[in-house]
Amino acid sequence: MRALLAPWQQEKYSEFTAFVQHEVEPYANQWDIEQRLSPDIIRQCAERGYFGGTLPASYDGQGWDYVTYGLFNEAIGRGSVSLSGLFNVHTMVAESILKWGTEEQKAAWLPRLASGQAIAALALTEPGAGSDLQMMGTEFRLEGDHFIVNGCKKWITFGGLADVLLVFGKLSGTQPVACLVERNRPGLTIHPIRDMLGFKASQLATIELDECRIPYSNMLGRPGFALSHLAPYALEYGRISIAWAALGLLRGCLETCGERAMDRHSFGMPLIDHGMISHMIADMGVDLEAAGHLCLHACQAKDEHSAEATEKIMIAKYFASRAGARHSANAVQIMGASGCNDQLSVSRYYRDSKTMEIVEGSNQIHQLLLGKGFAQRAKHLARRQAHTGEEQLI
Amino acid sequence: MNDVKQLEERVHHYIAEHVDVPELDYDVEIFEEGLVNSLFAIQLMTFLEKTFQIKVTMDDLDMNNYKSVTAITNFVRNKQREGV
Repeated sequence: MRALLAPWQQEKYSEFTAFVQHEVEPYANQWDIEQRLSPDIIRQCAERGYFGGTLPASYDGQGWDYVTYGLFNEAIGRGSVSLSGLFNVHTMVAESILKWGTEEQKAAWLPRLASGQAIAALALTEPGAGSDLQMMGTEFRLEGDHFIVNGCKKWITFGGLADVLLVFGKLSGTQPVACLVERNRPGLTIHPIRDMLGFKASQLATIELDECRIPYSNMLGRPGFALSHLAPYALEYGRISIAWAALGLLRGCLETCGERAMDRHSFGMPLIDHGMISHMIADMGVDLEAAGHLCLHACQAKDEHSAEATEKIMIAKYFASRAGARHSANAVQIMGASGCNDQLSVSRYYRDSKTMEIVEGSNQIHQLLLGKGFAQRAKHLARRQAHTGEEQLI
Repeated sequence: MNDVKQLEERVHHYIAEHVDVPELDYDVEIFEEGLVNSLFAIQLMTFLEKTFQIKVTMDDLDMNNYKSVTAITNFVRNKQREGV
């Protein structure tokens, strides 16, 4: 895949991987055990401008293209999927403000988000609303020039750390809305959630809103469009992050297991010469290659502002996260008892990869949407073929 | 074919490729009738922005702009006239 990158993308990727090798990977298992990131890694990422990766220079961002943003997530995901989760949620909110915000909102928030002075998180899911967001119960009520918000958001990645949350709910129980809510607003309470299976250092939280007063001017977009436009727009960035982070995790599996399979012997031969081990390693390598191409293809489409990018990003997320779950399970098998210990990264890959099949649209929702899309396209092509007599390719 | 008709045909063709109906009426309400999935609004927005060189912003978040082929065509024409 590296050969397909532009020179500046290769240069940035080298920068990212060197940073991760020295500053992320050595500490990632400890962050998982402590269930939090160290303030030092957040400071280092801020100093390097990583919080503003995709934002334009006019808002003090780095102006990366989406392939570069993907490469960043791959490198970070190789070291710590939990840390990639921070850039995932932060970027979803920053990009939402850039697309849907007023000029005042952009000026007030984007430079702070780009510098890492403020960290953002997306407060979308609720105890009773995950894949089916129409079930959201968080209620916005209009009083003068303020919303009064009541409700509960749950499983909010980095909700325990964020300075500002993009909170979704319904105005008067019907119209979906989304508002920027600062963490210190009276009526907003943050309850940390511990002991998750994966993303253990991602400081998940439950956000309770009790008669929380939020200025109307904090709303992003307009009432009625939060679920049709704002949430899908944000989640597309989330899927890019998950797809590429899963790619990094896959690389971690192959690098760890490849070395082990070459060096360790059993029954008089290296592990790699046992057919069942070489089979697992071969599938890891093939899926890593395939996932890399899907991720690259998806972000190139996004860079070209192609309408096909939405589907391609879903394909990449679906494939890479499934491959991550399958191969991290095999990685634990190859590593044996040491793969079951928290001090070795493979057990972390295994736990994180399962979570990646659930977040930013579960893989079952991906199956539903992608499956119907493929079938529909086949039907259209067959119909066209019947009209023209020419063979069509799907 | 004049420019408006061409624009309308391109919009019609794009939407017809994403719905499962034998013939797509130009005035049928594609979202209201449940003809498209939850991601289509974003795909449509990207298609319009790229194909017709416009930029959809928060000011354009009005369902009347997107409800049918005819409505979308009018919306794009207005955006092109405004030059944004």
